[in-house]
Amino acid sequence: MLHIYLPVAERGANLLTLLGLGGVVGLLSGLFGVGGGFLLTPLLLMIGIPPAVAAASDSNQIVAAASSGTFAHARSGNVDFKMGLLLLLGGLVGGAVGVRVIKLLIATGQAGFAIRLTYVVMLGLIGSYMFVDSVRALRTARVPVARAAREAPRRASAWARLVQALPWQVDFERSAVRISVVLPLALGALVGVLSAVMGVGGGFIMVPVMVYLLRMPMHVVVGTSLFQILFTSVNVTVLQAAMNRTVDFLLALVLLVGSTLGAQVGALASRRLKADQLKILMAGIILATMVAMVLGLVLRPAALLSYEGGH
Amino acid sequence: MRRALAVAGGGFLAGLAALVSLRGAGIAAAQGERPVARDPLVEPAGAVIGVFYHGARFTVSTAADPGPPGSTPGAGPAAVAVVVSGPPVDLHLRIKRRVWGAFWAPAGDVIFERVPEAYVVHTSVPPAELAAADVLRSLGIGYESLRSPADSASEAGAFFPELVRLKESEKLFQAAVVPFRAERAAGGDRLVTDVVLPARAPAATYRVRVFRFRGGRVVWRGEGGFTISRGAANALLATLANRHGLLYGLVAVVVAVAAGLLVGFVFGSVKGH
Repeated sequence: MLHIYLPVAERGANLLTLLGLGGVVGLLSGLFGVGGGFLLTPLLLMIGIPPAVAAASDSNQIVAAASSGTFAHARSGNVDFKMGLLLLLGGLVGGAVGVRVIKLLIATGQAGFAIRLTYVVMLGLIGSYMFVDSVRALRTARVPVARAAREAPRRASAWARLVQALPWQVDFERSAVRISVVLPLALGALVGVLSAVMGVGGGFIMVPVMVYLLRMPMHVVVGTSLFQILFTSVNVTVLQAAMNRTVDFLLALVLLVGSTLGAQVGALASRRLKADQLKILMAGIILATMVAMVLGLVLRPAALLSYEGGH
Repeated sequence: MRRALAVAGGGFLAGLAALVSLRGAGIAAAQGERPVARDPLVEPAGAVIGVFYHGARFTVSTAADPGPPGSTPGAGPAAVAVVVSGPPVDLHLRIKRRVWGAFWAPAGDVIFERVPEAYVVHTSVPPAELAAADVLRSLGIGYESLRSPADSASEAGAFFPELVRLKESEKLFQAAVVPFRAERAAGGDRLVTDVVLPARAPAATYRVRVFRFRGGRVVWRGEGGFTISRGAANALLATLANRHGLLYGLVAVVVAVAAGLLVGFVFGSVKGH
């Protein structure tokens, strides 16, 4: 069995297990078009990587994935840099706040608990949303087109009125939308905090929000989201390394290799599978991970002591 | 009266032998025990934490002591105890309690003073058959010997069993009755056991103590050790991460970006995130 020693986590891990985890997350990334960072950190926790190290190293791994994606999208003209910079500004502030929150949590020994609890909430929300959305999509396929068309504008109007009421409206030509700068700033800040606390890129929040709330076209959404995630992850990685000493570079590198290979397999497989069935499968995986984490929080632990700093 | 004096005299001699044997096996040999060149023998003398390190295995051997023949009390082969301990540290831990009626979360602190970071005890017979509990405790054999006297009335005393559970779950604490292997060597037969430390055992110098017991008393003791040290690459990364965090973070980002661009170049694909 090939093992690897992680110098910052200060423990050994099976190399094939880490490559496998990266591969599974990469596979999901290729299948579903999400980064999978939100799934990788909980999986790392399950194999015994300290929570703070798992989250910080996951951010480091996302830097690599986001940089290749951003580069490719920028070449294709699919990045709205004006929107991306506003998201980034919010993300930098949110990331700095998140890293300080983690530092505080480490100092009080609550980092592990807080990261797990945040994951339970986020995975629960995302998994439930995906499941309901997939089931609804399967049903909508059977609903007459005229009825769906009648319902759509009614749902959008309330949100549209709220967006129009916000101050500092600006045109975003590439995305062909006119919205308040408050929205991307706030969204970026939220993703920045989550990025630091959970070690995620935030694409799983960013993409649906950009599509459904900001009404941006899908091809620009992915590129712009990756652009913002790249810089937010860079910011979080550097801050985590400088302030919390929790980035395990070797761990990030191994995960990156696994996820890269997995993503290629996933991209190939996704062409042969039906989208809604895939979404239900993904929702099942997310909810199963959440249940496992809930059990870890509510069942009596093997020992009633833990190390300080969530390690 | 004569018997009491004989017991007291025997105890005194055994105690004296145990004390002097810390500096060698000379006294033990004078008492009729098998002379050995190096006892205990610990192999290898050290382990290096490299990239593929996943723990270390050390072989500890000691001369077999068949003991005087016959069926008189104290005759027969000596029982053996091997004790491996890492450097003692003051351990600051968090106590997990139920919060909000549902979750187990850290709520409160406890400090265990001078607890070894790793502690392994191998005995050839159950500890109760080696010697009395207080004797074992005074020799540092068994988990109970790790309790600080000051802990008894404090929270550290109450949570000591949890400390053992935590450390055992990490395999940093091990206490087991093991079948010592008998091996032939140039200096005579030896009893051998393997001590396996997990990757979490810290880089440090570890103390190895071997005791032979007969009739509830120590008849011989010896001491050795081994060192676990960080390899060059590992030490460089750890030092960089811990002392130059900002530089380490920047390097990690630059390498990740380069790796990402390389991946994009090789596969030429666009991945969503």
